[in-house]
Amino acid sequence: MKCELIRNELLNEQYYEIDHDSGLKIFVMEKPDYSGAFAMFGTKYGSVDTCFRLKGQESFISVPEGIAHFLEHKLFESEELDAFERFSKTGANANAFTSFDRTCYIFQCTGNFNENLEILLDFVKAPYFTEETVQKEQGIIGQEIRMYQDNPDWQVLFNLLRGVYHKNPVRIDIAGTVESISEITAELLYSCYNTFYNLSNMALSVAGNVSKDEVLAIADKMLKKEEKAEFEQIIPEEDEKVAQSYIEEALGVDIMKFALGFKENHSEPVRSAKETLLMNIALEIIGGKVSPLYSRLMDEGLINTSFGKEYFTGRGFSLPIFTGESSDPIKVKDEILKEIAKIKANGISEEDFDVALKKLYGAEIYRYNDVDDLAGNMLDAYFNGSNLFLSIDLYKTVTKKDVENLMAVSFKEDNYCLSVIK
Amino acid sequence: MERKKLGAGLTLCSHQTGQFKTSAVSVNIITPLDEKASEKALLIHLLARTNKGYPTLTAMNRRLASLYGATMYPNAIRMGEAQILTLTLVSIDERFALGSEKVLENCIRLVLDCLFTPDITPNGFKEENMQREKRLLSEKIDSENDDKIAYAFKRMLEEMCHDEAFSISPLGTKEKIAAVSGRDVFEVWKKLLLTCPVQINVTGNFEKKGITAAVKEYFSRLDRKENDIIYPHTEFLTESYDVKTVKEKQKVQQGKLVIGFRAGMTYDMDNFAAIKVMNAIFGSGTFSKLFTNVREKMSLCYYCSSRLINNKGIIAVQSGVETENTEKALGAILAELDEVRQGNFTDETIEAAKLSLKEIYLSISDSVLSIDSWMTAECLSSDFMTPDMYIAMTEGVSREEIIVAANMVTQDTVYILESEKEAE
Repeated sequence: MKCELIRNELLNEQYYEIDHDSGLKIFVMEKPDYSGAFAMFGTKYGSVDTCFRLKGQESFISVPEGIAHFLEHKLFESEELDAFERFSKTGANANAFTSFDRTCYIFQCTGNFNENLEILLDFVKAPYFTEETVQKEQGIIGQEIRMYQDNPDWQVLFNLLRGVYHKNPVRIDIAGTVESISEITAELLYSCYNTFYNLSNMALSVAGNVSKDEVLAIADKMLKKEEKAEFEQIIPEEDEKVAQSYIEEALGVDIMKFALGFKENHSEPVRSAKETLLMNIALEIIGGKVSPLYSRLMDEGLINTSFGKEYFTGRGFSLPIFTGESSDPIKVKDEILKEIAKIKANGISEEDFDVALKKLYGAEIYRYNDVDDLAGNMLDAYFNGSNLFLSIDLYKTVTKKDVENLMAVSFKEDNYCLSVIK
Repeated sequence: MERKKLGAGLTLCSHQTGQFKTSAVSVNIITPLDEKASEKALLIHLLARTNKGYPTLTAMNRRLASLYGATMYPNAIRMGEAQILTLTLVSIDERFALGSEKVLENCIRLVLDCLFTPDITPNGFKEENMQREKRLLSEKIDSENDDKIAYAFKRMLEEMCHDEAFSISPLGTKEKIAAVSGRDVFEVWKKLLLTCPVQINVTGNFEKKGITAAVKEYFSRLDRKENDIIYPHTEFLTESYDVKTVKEKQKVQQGKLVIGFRAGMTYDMDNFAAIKVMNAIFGSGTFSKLFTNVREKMSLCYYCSSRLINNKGIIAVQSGVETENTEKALGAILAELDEVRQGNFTDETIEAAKLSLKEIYLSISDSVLSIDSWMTAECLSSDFMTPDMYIAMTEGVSREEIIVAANMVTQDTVYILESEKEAE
């Protein structure tokens, strides 16, 4: 077992990174002045993993849309007590989520930490699927899907992804459709589980009022050494250009929602901490609250306080997006394009760069406040091939020129999509 | 956490800790929920956006950016039949500032400047600012209505409490907002400063003396008298009246079902602990009757939960269901309440409910914003209570008290949002 202590002086924070004998990567940040602790057990497996095979298997299998999320729901069940019932005896607040490229099981508690961690490691490593329980879940998830279909903020984003990408599986809904989940069987769930829930594809991240030794004692007790499961995936080739430059849907909203995304084309599937920081600076300079664009759009009554920007990334996809509500989304899109062209032509001023950097530095500090963020950020950084403290150190090294170079390649005036919910 | 009186109707609520890398300051103005709700909601949004020193959006936003991307946001919330107007400012702790700035004190001064020195003319708030904030507030209301879960909940409360002040929306209405003048808001502002209880919350790493002095300094500009301070009052109805079912149709994929109950309370802490535990057993948490039966066993919905609004004595159940299953779900939810009334729950479930409440109370102290919200939620109570006090209260609740509490609950309004395509 390898255990390394990683420290950052500026933040006055540290955490342990452990290669556990079982094959699992473990992160622990001890925060003794907190009342509670947060644990996250995750796998690098999400809705985009739709076609794969274990090494040595003859053929690839294509699985129904939404199966990763379905599997997340079903893992809570077991032959005896389900995981929720077990956690109700310890008082932990347990949950799980599935995103495009990962599935995570979490709990937060102020007491009984060891017992809770045992339950977490136990139920995630003990799948139990039968045809009857699969059927029962279809009703519940069917309603979850319907709920999101009525959510304009969700729909505007998924429509955008369908507009930007031709084949990239990020364009399918995380929960799938009522039709696709009806094709899910217990056997398919086991195939997914055996491929992606191997400890070598997972990580455990804990932050809060716990010690590294406690966490390791439980891991030693609960986890058996696993042979690494190697798998292969088929990732469809994606066209450089967006599929559509405009996409709209009528939900009968009182105020229209929009999302504008610029398609990027990278050869590496995951964005580095530096690329992410540079893009966030660019977005801040283009549309941050102190930008000329923001005040112009506000003065003209074209946006409201919901206006935002984000670098939307994950394994195999990345796009800078602007989102918000407007009575005239097309005009907003035109203004954003104009502003980007202007900044590209004139360059970025030193002052604007400094204001954006200071603001983002503050936002970076905010990420070190809550135990759920801390555990989540350690796991995210690892899954992205980075480490937690990399971004705070980058603030000293990035330059205005880096941002200008990025803007030249990442914001193409002919490679965007505008999604609108009416 | 502690609360101290600083002057007539003025309190400072603080939680001093080095645990966090950020701090939060909020000003909470306590006003009755009445026919001036729209004016007051507009006022707090106007105050948050600009002031005399930073008269444009850009100037204010530049100031906030220079405080390491501090964020300030206004809100108008309903708490019983009070409308609480809040200005919250979150910033980084000065230990992490790049220079030696007094970040937190600067933040408090900025918030108080917003409250005390808005950018006004002798005729009131400026027209350009009025136009902008009217639009932003109206669009906030639109946006809330586009969230069908929130919309259905709001509609149920409107129907259930149609003769009570509680039915007034704390953001106001679009019609009233459109009609308000800069002069009207100016008059409301002057009156509020002299007559409203104000609670200032501070959370983080600070020196109390400096903060107290700053707050006192600002309020000494006003001639606030104890006798002029108006404390809002909430009417409690212990039993339901005018029981009805209201149906609406919209083009939605999923229907919504919201059921309102009267909890039998006569004031906000009346039998509170027993009702809180009873509500948890009924429908709040994965161990609850609604989760384990209506969701897990019957597969009727993805979410089905109940919440207690103790400052009005109401329990509300919210669920999203297929329109064709509405009656089935309604029947199942009411049947689960009957189970609780008859005492059909295990001792393990009581323990699970108490443990889960304890977890919620204990974890409050681990987040700056939940501490700030806790202090705001206590702003109406005459004795400030900490989360620990709530734990002690709920732990002492007996099985018999839970059953008695459940039997005090009476069903009131049922609100159903039907999916139009299925109803046709």
